[in-house]
Amino acid sequence: MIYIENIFVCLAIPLALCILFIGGRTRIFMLFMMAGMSVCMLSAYVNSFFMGHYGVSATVAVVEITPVCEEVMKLLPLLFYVLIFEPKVRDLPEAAVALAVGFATFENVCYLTENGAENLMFLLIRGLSAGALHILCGILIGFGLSYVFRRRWLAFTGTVGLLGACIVFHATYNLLISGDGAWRTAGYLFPSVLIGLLFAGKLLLPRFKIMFA
Amino acid sequence: MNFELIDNCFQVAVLFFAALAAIAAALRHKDRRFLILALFFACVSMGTLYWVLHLFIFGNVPQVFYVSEFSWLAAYLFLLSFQMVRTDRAGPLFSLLALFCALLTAAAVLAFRMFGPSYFVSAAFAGVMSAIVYLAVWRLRRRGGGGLIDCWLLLCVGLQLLLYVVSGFMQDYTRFNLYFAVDITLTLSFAALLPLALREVAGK
Repeated sequence: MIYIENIFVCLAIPLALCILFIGGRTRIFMLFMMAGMSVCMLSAYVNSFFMGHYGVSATVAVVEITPVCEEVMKLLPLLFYVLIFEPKVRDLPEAAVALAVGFATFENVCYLTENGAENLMFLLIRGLSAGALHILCGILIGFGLSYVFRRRWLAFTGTVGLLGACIVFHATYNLLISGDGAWRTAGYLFPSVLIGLLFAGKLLLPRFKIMFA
Repeated sequence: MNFELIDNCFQVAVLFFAALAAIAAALRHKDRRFLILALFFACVSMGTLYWVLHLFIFGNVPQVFYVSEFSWLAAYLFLLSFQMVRTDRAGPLFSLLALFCALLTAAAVLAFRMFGPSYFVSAAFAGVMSAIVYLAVWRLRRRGGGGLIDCWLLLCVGLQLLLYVVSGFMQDYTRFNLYFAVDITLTLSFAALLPLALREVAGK
């Protein structure tokens, strides 16, 4: 058993303190990082509830329940931000990525507390793949809502659609790393490869002056 | 190897390449309609991939939350978004015939409890499918409006409904049968949306 609330307090207090002394977009970034950590903690409660409710094993929960709960929970702070604060187009992707970073960081810390930090190679692979997965989902939601699905009804269908896309993406990753051998290797590799391709795209698209109508 | 796996692998491969082609078209034409189509192809493909991987890795199909069906529902939401982006409201959006067709679609989905057993998911699927049908028929009825792509979307919706109806009468999924014939046709119909969209963009 790990004391997830204690870990959260320990990680969130420095962030909360720094928010008092910074402003502008950095403050929003930090706030969303904290929100990501809070959401990660709350997701653990929701996952445990459904796991108990359906009486399933940890493996089944990881593959079928966790992706749904985590992605829905991650979307809620962003929806609140969009609907209440109506941020500028460029602010939403940053908030979504910050939320994903906070979530992935807290998840990794909990993983380290539970499993120890002896195997650097494994932790490097896990950190890279799980981090890349959450950041990819954040990028998909953030950029999708900002640049592709902007109009009112389109924003509704787009948000729910992007949520479904993130759920299946996350679930496929969890499914692959639950397998053995080649499946697990593929699971660890594919978010990292995708984020590499996305980064290459980020560098190349402005060079070719590609913007979407 | 049973035919269900062959059919699913075929769907994953065809729609994965369709998604890549749609991304290439989006970059070439700088048009977000192709990005939405790419998301549609990717979601159908990923939903099927999850299903196949679950079969491969665990030897059974998902039992608690139907992640694949979330993905397929998301895919149809992207298809609806695609229709919404194509629809510029030059006139009133009401059409009695379109409403009739949409209600008929919703009734068919609810009658066969497609995407069930959850009523909520089935109702959501009915709403999305009927909205796609409504916009397609509305565009076809409008003077100088819809084109081949709207007829094709109606065909895709019809095939998807037929697939669920046929699955209710099939017991054996190890050999080729009517279910797989409909599924393969549906996959190819989905993929054909891309050249039709390219044709539409080139025509403007």
